[in-house]
Amino acid sequence: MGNKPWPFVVAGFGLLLLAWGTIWGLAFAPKEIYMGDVQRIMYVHVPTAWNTMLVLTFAFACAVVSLLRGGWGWDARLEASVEAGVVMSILVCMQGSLWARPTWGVWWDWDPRLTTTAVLVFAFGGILALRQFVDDPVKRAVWSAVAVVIAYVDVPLVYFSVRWWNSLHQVQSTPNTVSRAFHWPLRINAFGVLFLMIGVIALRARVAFLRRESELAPPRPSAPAVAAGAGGVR
Amino acid sequence: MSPLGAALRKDLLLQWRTRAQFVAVFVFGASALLLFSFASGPDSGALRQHAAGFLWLGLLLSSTLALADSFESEMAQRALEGLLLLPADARALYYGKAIANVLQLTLLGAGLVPLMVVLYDVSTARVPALLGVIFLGAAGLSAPGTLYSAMTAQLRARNTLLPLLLFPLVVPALLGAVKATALLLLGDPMGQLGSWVSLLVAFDLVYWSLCGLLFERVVED
Amino acid sequence: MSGVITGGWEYVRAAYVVSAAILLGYAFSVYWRYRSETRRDRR
Repeated sequence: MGNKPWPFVVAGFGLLLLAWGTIWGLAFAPKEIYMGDVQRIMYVHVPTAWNTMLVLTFAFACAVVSLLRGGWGWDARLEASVEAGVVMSILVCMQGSLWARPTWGVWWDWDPRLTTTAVLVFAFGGILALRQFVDDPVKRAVWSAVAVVIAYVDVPLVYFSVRWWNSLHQVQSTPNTVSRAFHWPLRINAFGVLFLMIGVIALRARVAFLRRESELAPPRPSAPAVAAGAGGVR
Repeated sequence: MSPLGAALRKDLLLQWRTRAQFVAVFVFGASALLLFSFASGPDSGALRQHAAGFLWLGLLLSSTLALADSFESEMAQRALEGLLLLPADARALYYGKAIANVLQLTLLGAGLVPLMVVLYDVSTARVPALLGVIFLGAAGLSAPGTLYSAMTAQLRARNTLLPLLLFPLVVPALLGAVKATALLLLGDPMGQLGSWVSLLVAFDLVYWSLCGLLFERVVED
Repeated sequence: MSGVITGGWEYVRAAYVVSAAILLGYAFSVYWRYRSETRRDRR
């Protein structure tokens, strides 16, 4: 894995976008009719939620490639995206809670999307725990890839089951449609989070790859499983 | 005999020989049901409402013990490596073990039903349907459970990791099983049983195929 | 739900503060881990 500085540039750009989108959303976007200022939480909640699913989809892709082709690079990216995905899922749940309280008077409203995200925290968090307990790096890579595939396939099942389960009780839900005046801060923040996380995940993958290197260090395996561009011989 | 048949026969034989462990797991499940009623309070209305949930929670907790046990003998004396050396597909090993686990969990669930009837004051005339739902739910627990049990049996923290990995995964199966059971116990005026059973069947189909495919990677060396 | 929600700025502020704390906090934690790995490599 390389050591070029592009992740910093991309992440920095993402932070700038987030600053712009946040200022726009907090200071300049119009107030929503029913929800008032509380609606402004959406400018950070929706972008985080979108990107969480994107990051976990990327983790799934890494898992599939890792199982089919192997390679420490893909395992490193898997570790990075699962960790980032868990952090973002936790954030989505906290944001959703802070939105639910002033709106519905409860800290948790069992909204299907939010509840699915909560399940994701535990499902993918468990995979991080699994990685901690497997000492053999090859087994760790294969098993966590298997676990990611299994957990990701579960996502639509969890979502639909919670939705059916909830529909018998609930009328309220998180607003889906956002009128045009609110689009821009949303989009800017969405790209902001996206670029920030691309940079952060790329760096985190390098960390994982370097750790794998020192784990496997002398005797260095000669198998092609070790990706090229690993930084060469020390 | 086909590899699957041989594997299934091996696992059923194993379960028969370790039936004392099954009794212990059953007692564990039964005490869980008892504890739920203490936690809930003697309000018979609330107990009836939540009977299905308690049954499935009890079964879920017991399943972690039963599933972990199912690979214990394979780990002792490195029997698993011996099995994998045989010219049988790893998938046959998986399905044999998984089917044996479903049967054991179904038996467990069916055994807990009389206790549920007594403790929570519920009953149903639709006993075959109830057994069917228990079977489908057990199948949902068994498919990923057998795969993760094979994985965690090879690790130090196996007793913590198995439930940690399994519980979030089986949420759809749990929801489906609890709702279907509740409808059978408390009445189904709107005819929703079919949709919950479909959810269970969908979950089972997805995971029985996916885990069979992935099992080989979990036990390979 | 009828009526208009007034105020609630504490929740908005909390949501943005939490989001910034977690996103920036995670980014910095990754950065520090990266630095410690590359520093160890160069030694």
